[in-house]
Amino acid sequence: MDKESLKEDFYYLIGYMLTSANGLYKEPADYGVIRLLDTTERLISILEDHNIADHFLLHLRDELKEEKEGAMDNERRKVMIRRLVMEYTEELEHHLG
Amino acid sequence: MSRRSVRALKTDPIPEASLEIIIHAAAAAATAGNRQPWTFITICEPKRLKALRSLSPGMLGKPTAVIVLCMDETRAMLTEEGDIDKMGWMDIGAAMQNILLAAHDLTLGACPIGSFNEEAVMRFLNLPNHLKPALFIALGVPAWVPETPEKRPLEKISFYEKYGGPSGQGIA
Repeated sequence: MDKESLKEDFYYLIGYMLTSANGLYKEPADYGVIRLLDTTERLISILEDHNIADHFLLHLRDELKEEKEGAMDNERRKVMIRRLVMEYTEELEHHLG
Repeated sequence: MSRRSVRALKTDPIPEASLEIIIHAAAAAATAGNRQPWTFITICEPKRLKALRSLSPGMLGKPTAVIVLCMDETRAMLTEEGDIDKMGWMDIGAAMQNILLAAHDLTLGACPIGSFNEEAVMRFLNLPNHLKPALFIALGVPAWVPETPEKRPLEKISFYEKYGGPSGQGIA
């Protein structure tokens, strides 16, 4: 694994998270949801770039990416998040065995 | 009417000639009193784009170019209180729309971005104090174009002659 490249990717992710936190004081509450989903997608993309992401994480990432690239729709997003949480929970059970 | 905000972008670079056309279109926008209270900074160097993305939470996609529309406080109309007059913001909006339409005409994808850290971006772009970043436009070759979301019906938002009058349907 290229540690310097991984460090650089995290460096930018950390900057994104900090500026997001700073901006959210004056942004609509819904934007907090978007920022958390975007952070999740960016984090999985970093894991993928460094060959750490598994099939389930990539599935999550693809769903999040498709959602954010489409037209903004809070209701559709809410349904998607609930579904992904349940998929995650099911995956968690497989992990725990 | 086929223009959409496009966030899904390919990694293909945008030809410099296309960027020039887009900037010309921006500079040709309607502007109150010919104030032209704008400066456009275009970022297309991949490393700087990656860094700019870390300062811009609203940049959801990975554009291959970003135009930063800056408000020039020395050129904008000011209110009696010394704030930027609404016409200045409208000028920036007009420049934004020209950019979006020019990009669409060139079959490029574009999306306005309003969420970024102003102070950090000023420092990153080496902007003098009188130039304030007002808006970003992310640009790139579309990977796909989202469907048009539901729009408010014209009869709710458009009236002829007076509020509540005909919306235009049936008028020759």
